[in-house]
Amino acid sequence: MLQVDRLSIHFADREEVQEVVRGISFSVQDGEIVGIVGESGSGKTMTALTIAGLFKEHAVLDAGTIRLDGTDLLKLTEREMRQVQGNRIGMIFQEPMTALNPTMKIGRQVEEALRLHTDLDSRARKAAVIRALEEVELDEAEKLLSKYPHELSGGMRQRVMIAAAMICRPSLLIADEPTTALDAATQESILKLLKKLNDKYGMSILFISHNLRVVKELCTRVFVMKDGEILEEGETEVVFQNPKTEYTKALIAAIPARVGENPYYEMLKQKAGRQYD
Amino acid sequence: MKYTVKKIAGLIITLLIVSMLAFLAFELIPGDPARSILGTEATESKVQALREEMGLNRPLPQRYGQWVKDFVTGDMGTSYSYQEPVKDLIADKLPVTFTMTAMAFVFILLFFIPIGLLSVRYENRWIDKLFLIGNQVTMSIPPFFVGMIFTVIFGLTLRLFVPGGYISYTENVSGFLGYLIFPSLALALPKAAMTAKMFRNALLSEIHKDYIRTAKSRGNGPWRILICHAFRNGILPVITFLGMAAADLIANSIVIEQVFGIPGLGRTLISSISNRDYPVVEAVIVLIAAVILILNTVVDLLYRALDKRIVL
Repeated sequence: MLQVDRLSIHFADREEVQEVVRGISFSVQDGEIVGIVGESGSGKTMTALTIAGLFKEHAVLDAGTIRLDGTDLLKLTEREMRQVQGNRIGMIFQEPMTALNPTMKIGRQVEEALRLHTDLDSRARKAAVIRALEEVELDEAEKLLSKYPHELSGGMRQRVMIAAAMICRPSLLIADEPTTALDAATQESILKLLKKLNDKYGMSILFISHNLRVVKELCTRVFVMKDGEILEEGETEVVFQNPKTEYTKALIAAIPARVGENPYYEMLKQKAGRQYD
Repeated sequence: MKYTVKKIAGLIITLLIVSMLAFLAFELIPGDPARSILGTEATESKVQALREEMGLNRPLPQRYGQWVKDFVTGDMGTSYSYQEPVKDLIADKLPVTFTMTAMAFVFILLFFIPIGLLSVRYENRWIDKLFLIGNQVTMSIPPFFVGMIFTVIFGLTLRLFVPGGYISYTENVSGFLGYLIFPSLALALPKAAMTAKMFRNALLSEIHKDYIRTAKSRGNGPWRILICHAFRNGILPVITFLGMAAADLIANSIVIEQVFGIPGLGRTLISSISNRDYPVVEAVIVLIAAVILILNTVVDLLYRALDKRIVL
């Protein structure tokens, strides 16, 4: 359903030309959860933003196509792209603290995509918003409608973000490090929630993260990015069992996993010669 | 509740201090109300007799205490130079000054909101640059000079109003409002330019924030982004400034009234100061201070209404 072909992007803000994405190609099938991992500066977020039509200032698109169900998103006019944003593509971001408008009620933020993309009247929209908030496992959805973001915890805000991104039932959800800013327990529950929504509605998820452990939990396939290129790709299980590049090995080794789960971690522990338990 | 009590207490204390300072100022500057009533020809003994009668020979704290006591019971005293109760005098002039500053304030709103939004929507394009230059120029001209330019252009050349041809609101309300258009415009322009510049900068810093990116990801167009998302956040710092600007309008109205020959509070204040007519001056100053303090409270409340994170 999503096909990215030879996508190249560079920044043109200073004299030096800085290539951020160098001719990457990948695809996401219907209902599939695909992960892109890499360190910061690897170009993964840039890729995600470009697919969502949120070019950063100074970003220049050099070549490539991004096809969503056959339409080349890069060929659409801004106006046409707006019909896709929030409607066929939903997006959630890293910082739930700042990603919501501080002076707008939760209810209005969640319903916004419906306002923009459907003809539903206010009563129907309200019902849809309450349903969406219940769907992301928030209690007392009705009360939440008139609350402001600062009255909610980080985990709750990310749930609100998910509800808002999913309200038009997009076929693709792009998640840019959605759990990075959250504590471990909340992280876990957000991942479970995404999995549940994926099972229920069958939308594809493009999951961007620097955290391989999170990706392993959620994604069926994974792309490892470094310096704007895809180094390695494949079924998540296969990549984990059999990392081909040193870089991927290093990424896996960096996972602070539970004891016994990660051979590299065991190795490091022995090296350190200390008892952790 | 606690907030209300605090605000009212602050209001009373500030008004006391302001009125005290005004009293003190009269003590320090040369000039004698009795002398200014009787004229320079009067004999010293006559002046002394009048001073005694007016209670001017009593010590300052006693006079101040008496004034406060009368003021609280609603007696603002009698004007020395107009021989009229201060209350009536102010009641006559207040609507004039109030209407003019209110009109000026409306002009500020009418200018800065569209200019700010357009500048940011077309940032760095010709329209933004045009506004930027226009703002810079307007900002640096003081209101009284704008008033003089207006008198020449709109009054004498284009004959859109008759300079000095003030029409009282008791005679003809629409004529009164019509005459006030150019004075309030002159009063408003420099402040409107400053506010527009502030609003532009506030909006610009908003549109690079994360929640704007979220709004874009939902398919919001550029105008919706500005009006539905950035506006309410961007207007917050401007509101504080508007509160100060409103206070400044009142101060500047005194000068503008002179330029356009409008018999408002400002004129009364100036003539009363030169006549050492302190009951009038005290009342006007306390009134202006009260209006400014009330405006500040309104700003606080508005701020709170727009941004629920703020706790008063």
